[in-house]
Amino acid sequence: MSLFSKECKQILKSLIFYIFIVIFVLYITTQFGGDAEDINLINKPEAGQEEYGYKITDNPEEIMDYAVNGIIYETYINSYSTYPFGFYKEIKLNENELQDMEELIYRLTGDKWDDIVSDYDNYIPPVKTEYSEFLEIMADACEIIGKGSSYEKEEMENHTTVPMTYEDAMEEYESMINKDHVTGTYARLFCDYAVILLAIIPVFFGVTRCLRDRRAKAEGVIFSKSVSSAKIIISRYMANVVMIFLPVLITALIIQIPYIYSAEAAGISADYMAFIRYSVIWLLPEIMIVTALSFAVTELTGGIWAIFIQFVWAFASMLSSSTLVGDFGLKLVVRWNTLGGADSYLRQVNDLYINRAFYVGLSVVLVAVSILIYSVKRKKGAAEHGKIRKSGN
Amino acid sequence: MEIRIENLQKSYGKKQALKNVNLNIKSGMFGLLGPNGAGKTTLMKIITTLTKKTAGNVDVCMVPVENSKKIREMTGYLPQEFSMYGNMTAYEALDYLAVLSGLSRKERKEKVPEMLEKVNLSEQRNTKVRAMSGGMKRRLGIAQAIIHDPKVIVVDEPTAGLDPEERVRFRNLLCEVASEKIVILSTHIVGDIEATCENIAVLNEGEIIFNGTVSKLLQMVKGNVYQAQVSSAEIAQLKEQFLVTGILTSGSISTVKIVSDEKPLKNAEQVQADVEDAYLYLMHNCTGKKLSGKEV
Repeated sequence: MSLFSKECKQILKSLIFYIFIVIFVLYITTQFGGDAEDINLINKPEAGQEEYGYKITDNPEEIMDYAVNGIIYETYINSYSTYPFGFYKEIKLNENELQDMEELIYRLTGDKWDDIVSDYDNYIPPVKTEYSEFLEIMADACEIIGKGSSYEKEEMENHTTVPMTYEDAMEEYESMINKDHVTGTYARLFCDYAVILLAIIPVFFGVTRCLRDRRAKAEGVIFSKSVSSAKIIISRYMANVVMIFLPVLITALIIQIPYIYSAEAAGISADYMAFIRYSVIWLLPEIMIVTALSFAVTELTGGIWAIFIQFVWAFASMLSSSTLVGDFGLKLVVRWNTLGGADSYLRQVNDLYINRAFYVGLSVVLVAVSILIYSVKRKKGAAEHGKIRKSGN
Repeated sequence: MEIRIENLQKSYGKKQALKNVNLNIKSGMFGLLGPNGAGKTTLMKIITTLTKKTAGNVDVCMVPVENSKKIREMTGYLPQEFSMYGNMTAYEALDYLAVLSGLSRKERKEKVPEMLEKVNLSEQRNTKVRAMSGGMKRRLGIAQAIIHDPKVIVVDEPTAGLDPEERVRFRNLLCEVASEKIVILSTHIVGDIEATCENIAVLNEGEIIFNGTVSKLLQMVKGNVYQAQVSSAEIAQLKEQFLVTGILTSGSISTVKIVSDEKPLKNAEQVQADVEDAYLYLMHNCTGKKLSGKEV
């Protein structure tokens, strides 16, 4: 415990800790704060409202309507939005490709392209295919447009939104009041943003800590001490995890206050523990795995490779995701970039638990690997320069 | 209480850093002398379990070095380049290293100020490590090496880079802590050994070429050390012919110190040998090279 508290104190005295706090608070207040301003969510929907917001639909009819309208519009202006590797790219088709696309639209609607454009402003496309055939046609369209278009199957099925009806809005409202107790929905969005930063930042803590002995020329003397390698590594690891998690937790506790206040003011019982619970389940494993990987890689290589590896892993995880809401799998960066959706979340929550448990387990394994490497280095004569190397004199 | 080293060998690939080293080191100051690259640091690291031996046996107070935990508990090590985290104060650094040596909070509260006092760093207890001079760092280094009251203290080149005053202060400090302990002082600076050690070993290219007392080493050159005044122009030629261990130049005349089995020059007078003469003589015999001593 003494070593752990001393490690915490060292982090408290380090510049990187305060840079992290500033970045995290700024990031959360600008990103999460912007999206979560909508405290009106706690207002009960009333019949006859002009609109009730939007919801993601899994209804094939609605998906087909939305996609066919989109592809006709993009073909009309010959400008297709794509996101290959996560970054926006505009695609313009040549004449032959446009003809192929017009043919696909004909198969979807039964209408010739010339007829469509002749009265484009008033044209309402009829969809004349079965869903399976629709998917095949859209796959052909994706071949023409290229990777990352809006007409890929997963993209359409996860991102098609339709206006909510009063009944939809009431159902959503009831879920938020009774299942999320208001704060739950905001806590998920908070975690969604925080997890992006926490998939990267802890690697700097881990690498810095592991290289510190060598940089300070303290490795030789520390290696010679009687303390076990396990105690050194676990104390350092735990101290880093705790000191990264504490500002996250404190930010979460502070940021939830307006939502609790608004809920209570509206006579709704808020869940005071939601931000803490979500942070522990969602964010703590993220900090654990990123820190553990940085320890293992840095102890093994004696360099800053962990930073590159972590960047690649985090970005690959984010870019591989077809949706920003759920579909957790074993992704490193687990997202829920929306307010509401309690029912959908509860249907997937077990996947989230499995995901997070997996990374906690993997963290334990990586910490054990770090201990092993550290132990070997202590015995094999890496005392002066940190790497497993031969030393003479 | 002794360190027994039998047929110790250490290889790095094809290079043999230690060749059949045999040593018995008993209580008190023990000097390990040798040129850079002789294998001193390798031997120190094997004793402190920081490097694995290739063959042979090393027991520290009856405990084989394979039992690294036990060895680390009973040894204190001051590596050649000792430092700690720059943003720690002297007190914090010593307290941190005391935790790593297994001292409880209560023990540390008592021992840390006591050790700082012992190494004359009490007034600098709040000085940051990054602001410390080389001498202060070495004193902090010796404090961390002895704070857990080890039976064996291993110090590697502790006076390199220190000014003469710091060097003398550090030697005295080592002698103070050496009572009822084994202190191994590894150095290539003969003066350190001369001032502090009774028993020494000389290591060259991984082999022990001398093991015994300082008197025994001096005995090797007794009656063979001469001093003579020569023209400064003759020095180069003298160096070719004899083992010159010291030159004191004053204008065109130089006083040279020569180690030779016979009287080297007509005007040469026999003088008392010092450890440096003996060491250079030993190395000369071992390597066959003409070695030069100090030139002033």
